[in-house]
Amino acid sequence: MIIVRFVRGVNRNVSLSALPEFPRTAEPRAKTRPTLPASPHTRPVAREDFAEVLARAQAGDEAAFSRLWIDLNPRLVRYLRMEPGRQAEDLAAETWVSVVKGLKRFRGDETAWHAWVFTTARRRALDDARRRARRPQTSGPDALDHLAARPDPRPSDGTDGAAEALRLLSTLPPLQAEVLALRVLAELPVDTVAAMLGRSPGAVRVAAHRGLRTLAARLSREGVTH
Amino acid sequence: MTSNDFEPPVADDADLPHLSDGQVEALLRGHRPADTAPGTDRAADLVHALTGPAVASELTGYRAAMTTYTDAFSMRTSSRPRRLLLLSSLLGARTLAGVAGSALALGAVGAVVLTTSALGPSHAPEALPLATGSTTTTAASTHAPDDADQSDDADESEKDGTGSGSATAAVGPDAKGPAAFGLCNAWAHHQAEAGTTATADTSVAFRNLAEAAGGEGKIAGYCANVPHPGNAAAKARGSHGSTPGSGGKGKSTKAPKPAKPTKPTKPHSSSHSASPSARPTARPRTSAPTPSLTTPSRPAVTVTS
Repeated sequence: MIIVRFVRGVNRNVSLSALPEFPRTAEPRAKTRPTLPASPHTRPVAREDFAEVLARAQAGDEAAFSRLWIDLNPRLVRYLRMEPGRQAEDLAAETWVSVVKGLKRFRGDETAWHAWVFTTARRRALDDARRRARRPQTSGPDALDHLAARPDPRPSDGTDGAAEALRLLSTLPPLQAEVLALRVLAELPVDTVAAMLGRSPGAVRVAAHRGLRTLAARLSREGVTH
Repeated sequence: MTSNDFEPPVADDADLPHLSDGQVEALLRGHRPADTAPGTDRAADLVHALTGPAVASELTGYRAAMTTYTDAFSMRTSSRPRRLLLLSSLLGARTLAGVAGSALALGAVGAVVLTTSALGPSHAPEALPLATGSTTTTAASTHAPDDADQSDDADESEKDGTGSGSATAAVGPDAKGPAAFGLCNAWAHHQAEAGTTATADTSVAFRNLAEAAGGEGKIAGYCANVPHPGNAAAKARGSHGSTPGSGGKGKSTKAPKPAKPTKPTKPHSSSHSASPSARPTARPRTSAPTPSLTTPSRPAVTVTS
């Protein structure tokens, strides 16, 4: 019920013309860094002219890279927020550092671009999971303080529909949750997701199928209860 | 992404709403499939919410990302000019060295040309004979139809005594032909100036003349009857004893020629008259040094051409 209330009113078909207009030709490098455009949307703004934007970003155009970042970073953060206890923003920043390092060498279309960025983010997340696993387990009041001081990466105050959707998504089995996240947030096809996760395309299809059916069942029950 | 792939049982398939593959794909794209179970619409809304507008917490890394990007690309753009500068300096050094080498080479060639032109007078004899030869060849060619030139050559070889032995002993001027008038003229000059120094013993031409006259003592009488070459009637007749000459304007001007002191040029003129092909090569060589003497900038033009 809560989710239904939040997701209503979200206009998915946001026109690309409403997004900030970026110069089509490379302009001289500005002294000040470009400011964040207002009301960025998670829709892939670079879809129509991705090749041109990517080429400009690879040539050093800050506006083009800004467009790529605004296009993908919110989805990246949401993907990383699915697992509790993960510093999604920090991992996203590490991901972009790696992406910037290899940006000039990247070749491919927008799907390949999404796959590359999300694969990088997934590796950073696995590295972070290993670091946290090696970290000595603290107990006592200090550990509790540490957990209390850490902000909840998935706010569930009812004002963020994406956060609530992530919360529900994270209740799914990990494979189903990750398959759905990669297919929805990264907009990756089945084969790409299968390659990223080391699973067969059939297993990915089944995971997505079962995950959606599970969510539908849960939402149906929540709607009845609420 | 997850550390383990253990999936706890959520629910039996019988408890889950039925979704076809097409409906699943539509849900993943954010569409609401038609004729589905009650919870499917909400699942579609959930998928739609996942791609909803970004919130502030999802854009906090913007400045850091742009800083990373600008630092990375400004470092590349700043290192590229250094490489370009190094490359351009190397290329500039090579270019400068090449230009300097070319300039030195051109200067050396120009200096050679200038030196050659400056030493023109001393080297001129190498070219001047060709020039004089060409001019004399031209003059000889203009006079070639007239057999009097043969008498001239005979006179020169007779005077300096450098004529080839075969030419003087075997041929000599024909005192009974068109050369008779010239021979007589020369004999008359010799008789008036030097007496009888030139006799038939020392000169083949005079011996021929004496033979034609029937003896040295009859030369005066013979020459008195030799017609002038300009007389066409006498030419047509072919004999020189029948009618006296009436003109004398053409060959009279050539009479002083044997007395001209131009002995060194005559062998060249004769040799080059025999080889007309020397004319094209002689013309540029005689004209080339001349401008280089007057205009020092010409050597460069000569080199480039």
